[in-house]
Amino acid sequence: MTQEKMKPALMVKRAALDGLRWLDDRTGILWMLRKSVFHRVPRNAKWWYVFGSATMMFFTIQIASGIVLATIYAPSAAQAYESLVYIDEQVPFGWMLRALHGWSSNAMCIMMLIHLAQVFLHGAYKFPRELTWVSGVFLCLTTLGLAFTGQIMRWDADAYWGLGIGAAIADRAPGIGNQLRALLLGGPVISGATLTRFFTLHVFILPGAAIALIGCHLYSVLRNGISEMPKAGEPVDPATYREGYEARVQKDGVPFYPDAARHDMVFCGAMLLVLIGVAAWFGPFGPGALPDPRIIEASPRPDGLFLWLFAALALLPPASETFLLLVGPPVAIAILAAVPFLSNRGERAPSRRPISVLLVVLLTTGFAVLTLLGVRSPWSPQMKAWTSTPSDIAFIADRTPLELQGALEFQFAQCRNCHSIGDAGGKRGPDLTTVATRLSWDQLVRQIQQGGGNMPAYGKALSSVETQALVAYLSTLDGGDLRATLTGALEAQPARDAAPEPVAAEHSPRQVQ
Amino acid sequence: MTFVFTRAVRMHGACWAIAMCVVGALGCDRLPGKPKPRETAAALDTPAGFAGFYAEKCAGCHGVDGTHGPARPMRDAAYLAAVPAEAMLSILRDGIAGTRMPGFGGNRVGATDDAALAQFIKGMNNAWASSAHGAPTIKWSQPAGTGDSAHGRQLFDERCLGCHARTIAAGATLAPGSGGSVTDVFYLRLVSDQHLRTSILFGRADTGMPSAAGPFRAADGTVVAGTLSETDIADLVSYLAELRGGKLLNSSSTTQEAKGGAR
Repeated sequence: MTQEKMKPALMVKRAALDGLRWLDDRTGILWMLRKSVFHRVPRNAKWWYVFGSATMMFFTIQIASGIVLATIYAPSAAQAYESLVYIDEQVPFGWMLRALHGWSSNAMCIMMLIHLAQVFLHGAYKFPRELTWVSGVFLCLTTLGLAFTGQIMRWDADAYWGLGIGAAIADRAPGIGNQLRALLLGGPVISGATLTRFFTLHVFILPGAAIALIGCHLYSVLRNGISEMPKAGEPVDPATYREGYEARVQKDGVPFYPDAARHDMVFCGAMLLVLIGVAAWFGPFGPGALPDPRIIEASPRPDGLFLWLFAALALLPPASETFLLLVGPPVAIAILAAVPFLSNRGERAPSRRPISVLLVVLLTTGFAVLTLLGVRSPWSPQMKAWTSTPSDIAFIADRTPLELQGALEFQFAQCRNCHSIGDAGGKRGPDLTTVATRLSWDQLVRQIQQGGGNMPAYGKALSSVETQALVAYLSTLDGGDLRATLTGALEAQPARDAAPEPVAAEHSPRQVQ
Repeated sequence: MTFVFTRAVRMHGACWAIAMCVVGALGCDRLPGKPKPRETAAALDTPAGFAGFYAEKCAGCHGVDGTHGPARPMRDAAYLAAVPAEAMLSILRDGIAGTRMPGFGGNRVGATDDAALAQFIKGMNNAWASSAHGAPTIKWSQPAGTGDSAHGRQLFDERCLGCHARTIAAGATLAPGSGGSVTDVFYLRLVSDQHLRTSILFGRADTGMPSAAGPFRAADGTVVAGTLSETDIADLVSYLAELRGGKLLNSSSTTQEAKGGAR
């Protein structure tokens, strides 16, 4: 009876094995697995080596969530925004899908940059892994391209004005500016064709390029092996490196799966949990307000990863802009791709490569500072501050009627859009909380009437009476320790009393009321 | 130790499982990242709608909660009761020419339409007006140039001078309770007669300025009781308006000397 029962099971097992053998015969899959999944890697390839795997895991999430999103998203200028709102509000867990896609994109870029820095610091790009590095550099560009085109998909004000800046940069190219802009936008201006173009880039061209490049990258990793942890005093010598590496790995190495992959799996699992947590907590990105050219208060800004670029563009000296915008990026990319050819041999240990370490520190600091500046964007006036940013009571209390009129002038003339008092207001111009300790009455009058620095002249916009009231108010801003108001509206100010216009002649229009 | 799935355990287990599913399903819907449904903006006569519009368009000058701004406090029940809705609508829509009150309606870019402004006025009255103030006894507005400036000057000396000294020595600090000069010609040239009338009639509770109902303070510091009549207010405005057109008050010899000293 047992034998009778076993028979079908045995038959199934045999048939399955036959099937696998057939598959292996026709495809060579076992050979491929042996060469890839079970290939031997250095024993010390542990936690430092997880970032590349994590980048790929996030890319896989991007592909999966992206495919689902693409089935609902409507890539047309009229419907893109509505379809995102539909995904957020109507599709069950649609918002979660968008959140995962958005946060995973950021996580992928961050992991990729950490991977890049780690490979650079460990000198892993040296012989014989030059092409691994070069394919990585192009993967990096593709990934950033995916992130940038992804935020265009939201088709909100940030996307619209961001494209405008991109088009303006393309326009600067000598000779071919117009053509380049038309290529970018699909016409002379941002339109539905632009969205179609960027949609194609985002879901066909760039992902396809990324998959192809990942193939090259992984093949090149398999062919040249995972680099060992760098050790000081063991320089790379192209003449002997390959033989030495093979011998060491054969003697001391471990199979990639399961020994080395264990670290990758643990790290990727943890990152996946973090991603889900972040997506559930912070939700999807945008879509923000719709683009409306009539809203002059719009302050469009790119997503976090591109804030450094936003800040750098804002802070470039105007005279150098065209040159740096057109020449800078290609040169920077060329230098990055050329790194393994510039230094192909020698020490790999960070302790023996101080300049590389310093470069990483400097670049990281630079990006961090620029990102911080991008967040605060102190160069942008706050266009709504004049009606919406009230003064703290401390800067209004105990002022004379004239000084209060000056405070009113401060709002009405939109001084607050650029200047803060008590940290409330724009940051483009100097903070005026203690301006009376820095400038005298006459200096204040001159600054307002003639401008200077980055400030426009208000001599024609403000009458002399208005200027005097404004200065009377500003002269009370001395840090608050003194009760600085010169009462009676500052009778003893020579600049005011020596005002050239006689009272009768200067007939302010406000008297008409 | 063995664990037996008795009927009671199974029942408990099932109950807990159902409870967890319910909590989980409700919880998933309440994850903090879930976007809020996109609402149309709250109507301006609702508290939220009024507060939002006020914070965006008015708070810069009229103060964060309707007081302590450089411009007239709008959280003033008597004032809100006195100004008719049509007049308020016209002010909000077109602003007041020649003053620092801009218009927010009409044909300008980003304008608010009349219906929304009317709703806003309703919202403001709901928030800050009070039924305690019925119809005002004195009209909030009247044509300029009807007062007796000599009587106005006399009233000023009796009731205003305690806080609003005409001249104050250079370098002196503003005494507590003092309001600073209102006879200063630079101030007068920046404000309309209506501004003067409104200030006298309604005062400014946030800065301690009394309304027409008093009490006032004389130059020697004594408290003067008594309400200003409609004529009194017109006279005071007329006096101040006359100062505006006159020559500089402060070019007296004493201030000239002070000037020299300060220089």
